[in-house]
Amino acid sequence: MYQNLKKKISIFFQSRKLAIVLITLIILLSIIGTHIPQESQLKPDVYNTWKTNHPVEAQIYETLGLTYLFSSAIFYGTVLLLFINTIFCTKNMLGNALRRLIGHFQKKEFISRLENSTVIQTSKEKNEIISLITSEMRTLGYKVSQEKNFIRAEKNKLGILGTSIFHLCILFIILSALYGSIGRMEGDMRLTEGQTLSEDHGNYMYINEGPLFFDNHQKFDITLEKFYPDYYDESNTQRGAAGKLSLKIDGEVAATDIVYSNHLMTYGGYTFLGNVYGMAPLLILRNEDGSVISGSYVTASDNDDSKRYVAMFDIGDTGLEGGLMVYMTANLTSGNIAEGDVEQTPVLFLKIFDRGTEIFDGKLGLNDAVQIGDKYLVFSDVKYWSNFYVVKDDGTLLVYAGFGLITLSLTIMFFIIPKRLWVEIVSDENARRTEIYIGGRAERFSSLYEEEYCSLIDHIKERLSNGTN
Amino acid sequence: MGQIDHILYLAATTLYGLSSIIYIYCFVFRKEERISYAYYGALAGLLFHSVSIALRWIESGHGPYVNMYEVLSKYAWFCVVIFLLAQQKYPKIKSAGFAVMPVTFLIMGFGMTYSRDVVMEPTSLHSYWLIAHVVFANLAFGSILVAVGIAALYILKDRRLNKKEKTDDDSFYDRLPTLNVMDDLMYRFVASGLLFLTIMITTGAIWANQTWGRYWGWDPTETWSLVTWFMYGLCLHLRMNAGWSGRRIAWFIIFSVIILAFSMFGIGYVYSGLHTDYLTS
Repeated sequence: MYQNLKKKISIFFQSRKLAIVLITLIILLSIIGTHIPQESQLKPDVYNTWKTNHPVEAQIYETLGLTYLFSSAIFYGTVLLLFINTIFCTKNMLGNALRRLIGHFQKKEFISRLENSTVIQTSKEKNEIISLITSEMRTLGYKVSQEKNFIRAEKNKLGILGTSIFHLCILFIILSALYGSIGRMEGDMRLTEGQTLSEDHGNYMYINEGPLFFDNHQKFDITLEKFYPDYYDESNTQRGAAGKLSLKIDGEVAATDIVYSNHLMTYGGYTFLGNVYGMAPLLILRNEDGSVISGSYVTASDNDDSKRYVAMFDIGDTGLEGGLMVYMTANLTSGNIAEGDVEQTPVLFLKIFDRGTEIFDGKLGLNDAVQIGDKYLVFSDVKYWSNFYVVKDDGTLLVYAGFGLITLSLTIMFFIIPKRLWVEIVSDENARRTEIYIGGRAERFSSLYEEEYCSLIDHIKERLSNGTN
Repeated sequence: MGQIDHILYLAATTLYGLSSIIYIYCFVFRKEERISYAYYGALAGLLFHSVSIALRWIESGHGPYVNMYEVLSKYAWFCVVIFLLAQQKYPKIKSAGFAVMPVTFLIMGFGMTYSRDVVMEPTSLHSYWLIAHVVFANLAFGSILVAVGIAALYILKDRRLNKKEKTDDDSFYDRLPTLNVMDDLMYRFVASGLLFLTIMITTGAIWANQTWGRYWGWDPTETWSLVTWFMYGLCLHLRMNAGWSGRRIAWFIIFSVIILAFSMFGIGYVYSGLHTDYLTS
């Protein structure tokens, strides 16, 4: 009974029709996934707005798991079934392909049944015929073997393995992507110019760790040495926002690079990409005698592409809340404009609230202060901050390798076409006549092979009739 | 220079239009002997088109992939190049121009509805991977468009052969390749298309990883490119393993080009995403 069940399972998963059904299902699910808003792809506010506007659909889709379709059980299940199906099919395919790699001589009965087959009659001797045919086949790039009165010729043998390699590559890509995602870590780290943070779980603003990452943070120091809002590289090409990062281990610089769009920094399997950035005014709360109570760089963001950076913040432990907007009257730093050439003045608009009631609304220049009771809030400095998207995904290179191999296997499959020729020479010594049975076959595009085959036969016939080389 | 490149673009569009008319005329009225006019029309159009693209490239300082006018122009250019090369290799399929050239003409015409203003290349597009990505996308589209043209010829010839009575049209159909050869040619061009789609997805994944930190993110454009890849994978699977060939596969190829065209041109109008926002804005 167990054997019977095993056989049934094997037949089910070997089915090529199953592959067709599963591929069709993946196509349909993918199309559905692009039509229904996916929670993982949208910003929370955008997703929530959609939910508010379409409450009924949202509830139905969420219940069915369609709002996280690409990580849902139905999607993973379909991919898993396709994976198993591919394993079974590849096993069969590979076995067949390996068997087909071993060539055999064929008799005239087999040759006559081929789509491209010819019988040539000649009065020439067997040895002369063999020599003539083999030399003609070799001229066309065939590898020729001969035994008694049989000839076998083949070329592009590697093509036999193309389909199997292609399917192995699909399995390899799925496994690599899985390996990468379960051991993956991605997070956003916010650094102000000059600031150093350790690569540790707690220093990420947002972090997502795969189940097999095991909190394996490397804890090296990451410093944002300098930020360029409009960077020009050595070739004077504009690169947009860029940040110079340096990574240190035990105080020693391990790597340093300028990170900008399409130029990420890699170190120890980690990649660093710059994404959003903003300005960070340093606000220090002082006593009347000038002693510092507290102070920090407040990271303000440009929410509407106006180059005005806004933030809300708590003012020390005073219980007061501040709202600020800061901008520069010129770019703070730029690769092609020397800082000294342009007057750069930071302007800070500040509002202070006491339990929701506005108690201050004014404009501050650098080093200006505003009095709050017996304390002073001083606008002491301004710097840029930048978020760095930090990723560790050990599967990426494997997936690339899989993609490369899949491209190679498709080339082998469709453009290195295995071609075979078989010949049997039948001599009738009494009649002093020899019959040559020639047949050929291409594994794909057989009708396109006809031309090559006919040309070969014409050459052979011509040489047999001329008796020349 | 901006005016000259547009005048050349208009000249190319006109020549493609004329070439399309001649191809259709030759096909409808079975005048195969006149088809060389269509070929030379397309060739002349390609010459003007190439110079137009080159001038715009010099003027803008970036390749033709930043706005829709450039993108569509480039797609049309690749379609004509691939079709003319295919004709050189397989002269008997030249009648497929009745399907390929009108599509190319429409792409050019559609391109004219977009702004011709030279747009600065966004910094996210500064990548050699992007160039490879768009070139292979165009090669894939061109190859599959030629497969569609052959598929259309296949269906028409098959229909004619199934009719018992002989007509004057038969000589025209006799000059087309045999059904078996057309079947293999469709198969070959779809296989080339799948190979190019694979390279397009690979280079796109590498570019995405450099720009966004992940090689795959189920963005609508990415998902539709995967759908298209599976579609043509399925097409070849059906051809190789399920005995689908001839008429059935020809219809499959004709219908699946709608999915391909949507994934290459239509997504920006339906979805918003990382790939499409700058093109349709």
